[in-house]
Amino acid sequence: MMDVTATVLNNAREYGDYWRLRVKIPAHYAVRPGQFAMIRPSAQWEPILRRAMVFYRVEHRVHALEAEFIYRVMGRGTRQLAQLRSGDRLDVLGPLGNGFTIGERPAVGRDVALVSGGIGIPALYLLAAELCQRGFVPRLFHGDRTSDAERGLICVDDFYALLGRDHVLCATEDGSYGQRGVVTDLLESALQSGAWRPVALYACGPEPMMKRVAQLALQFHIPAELSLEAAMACGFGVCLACVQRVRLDGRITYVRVCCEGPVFRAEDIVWEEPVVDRSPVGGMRNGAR
Amino acid sequence: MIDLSVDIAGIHFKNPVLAASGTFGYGLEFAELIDLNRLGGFCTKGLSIEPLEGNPPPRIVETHGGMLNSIGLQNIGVRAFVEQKLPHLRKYNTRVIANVFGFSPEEYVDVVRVLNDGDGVAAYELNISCPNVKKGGMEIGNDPNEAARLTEAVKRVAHRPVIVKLSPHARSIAEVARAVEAAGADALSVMNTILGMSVDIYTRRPRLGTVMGGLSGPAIKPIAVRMVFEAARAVSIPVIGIGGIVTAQDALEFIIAGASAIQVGTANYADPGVTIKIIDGLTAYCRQQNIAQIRTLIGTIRC
Ligand SMILES: Cc1cc2nc3c(=O)[nH]c(=O)nc-3n(C[C@H](O)[C@H](O)[C@H](O)COP(=O)(O)OP(=O)(O)OC[C@H]3O[C@@H](n4cnc5c(N)ncnc54)[C@H](O)[C@@H]3O)c2cc1C
Ligand SMILES: Cc1cc2nc3c(=O)[nH]c(=O)nc-3n(C[C@H](O)[C@H](O)[C@H](O)COP(=O)(O)O)c2cc1C
Ligand code: FES
Repeated sequence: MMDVTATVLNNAREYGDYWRLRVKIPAHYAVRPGQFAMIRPSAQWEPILRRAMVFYRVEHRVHALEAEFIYRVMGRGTRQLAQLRSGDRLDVLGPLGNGFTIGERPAVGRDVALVSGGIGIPALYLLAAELCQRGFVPRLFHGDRTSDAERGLICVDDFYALLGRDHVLCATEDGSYGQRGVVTDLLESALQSGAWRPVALYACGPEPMMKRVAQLALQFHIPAELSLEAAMACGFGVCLACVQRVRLDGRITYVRVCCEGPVFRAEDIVWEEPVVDRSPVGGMRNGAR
Repeated sequence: MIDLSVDIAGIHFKNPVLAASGTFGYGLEFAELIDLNRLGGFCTKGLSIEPLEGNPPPRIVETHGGMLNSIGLQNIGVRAFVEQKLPHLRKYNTRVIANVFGFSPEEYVDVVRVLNDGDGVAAYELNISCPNVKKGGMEIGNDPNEAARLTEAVKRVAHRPVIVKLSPHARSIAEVARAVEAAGADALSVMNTILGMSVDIYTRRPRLGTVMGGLSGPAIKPIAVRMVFEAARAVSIPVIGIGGIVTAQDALEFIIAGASAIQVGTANYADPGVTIKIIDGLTAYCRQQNIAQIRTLIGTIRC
């Protein structure tokens, strides 16, 4: 973990509220799939907290890292990120969190399920790439509310290039791209077909999606890892804001999403009572991501 | 050479910049990010006699100029601190202040007894001002008599100087400050967070799991400067200023208003290196103002 001043290489709207930020980080560190950074425009104290962003893609250069973040403009912090121009400075604290774990490839079966909703998708790209490298065959199930007439769905083109078109299945709630409906229905029918038996499942998305994914993983006996979100102040373990209830050594306890997470085994997660959110854009609880 | 050192309660600090309790973990978390040896010192997360689980999430809400928190004093317990953290902290040349919390005066005393055996603790800071727990905390801090009784009880057993951390919610900060001084406190920390609340208009629920929480950050700084000013005028023991400090300029306001040292809280989250920048900023200010020793600046406000 280190805090460095990065330089914005490029920051542009993809479509709608989705943006892509490319930065040059003058440091060398390895980033595991699912790890994140806490970022803010340099020396900016308002809003007071940095924002957590998962590393979408990382390239190692001679004296630096080039990293990409994908973000959805929601509130004050992300609106401010959208103001950044090429050459601007950005404080990047990372890499943070545990990241996903990839097990040994079993003798039979190399299929893996990746499931994302909305702005959850960037958490899965580095993972998909590493799974491919290790000889697994990942299939991405991705859902969103709607799509863009020109650009389709966020990040999906990158996944087409990585996995092949037939290994990316999409759903939109308004039916404008892929199948109409929610992504977990896509996943469920794929699992029910019986022809495809993933040896592992990884997911990142809004809470209702994650709960359903956890149920399906249990029902079909697939080991699953879910990347959760929580309101964070520090991102590196000192404020104790980001706690999640989990089963640990036979008891139920709070652990820090920023350190012991953000990735948890599905069976360890103790879900809190749902909160009905009528917000027009969707708040944290019903899934900004 | 500019001398930033200050003496508080008989302890020598190499500079007046400390990290505030609850924002610096147990110190070790920061070792990877900054040179701990440069810090004047830091306060640990509040330590209780038994480990505490803390409050249900969400535990923080960002606000304009700050944040609300309702962590609820989640901590590993004082024994685990002494056994697991303290041995590693002894490697660093900085002052470790143990922040102490209890649900009753007896529990504060018990925690201090355990800490007495811990090698490497410079002082105790009694948190009698936490807004996030039902019993203890603020209840004690708001009542001059209770605050004095607790201070006295702890002083009887403490092997190290006792700093009492006051609440902004007391009817009169000067009154509590005087009561605690009379009871034997070696120094005061002013102040803890201010109770606040935030509402989600779509769910119509409070944004914090516990409904209310403590406000910290730049938004509270003017209130904190005023409290430090009032407390410093009321007592002759040193006052440590806390509340919304982000820059050296902020720190200097407190020092001029009467603080012998300052603590940096919420700013550590946004910038883990902020304490070092403040130390450098104090040196730069002293050089520019021809101040050889920063201690000569303490309480020099003209009014
Ligand atoms: C591990 C992790 C990885 C993340 N990765 C990404 C990513 O790659 N792309 C992306 O767009 N977003 C990501 N998020 C969410 C992101 O950090 C922001 O919190 C979110 O975009 C809202 O910030 P805002 O400034 O738009 O909203 P505001 O309403 O201004 O946020 C106010 C406060 O609430 C917190 N908050 C609000 N919504 C969320 C949320 N959904 N999750 C956590 N905290 C929230 C903010 O961090 C901030 O402290 C991630 C969150 C976590 C925990
Ligand atoms: C998340 C959080 C946790 C805190 N925990 C403690 C604590 O355990 N004990 C304590 O005395 N103060 C605690 N505080 C209060 C701070 O030490 C400090 O008094 C307060 O935040 C005001 O300073 P600031 O504006 O610089 O943050 C906490 C503050 C925050 C934001
Ligand atoms: S965000 Fe501070 S402990 Fe996790």
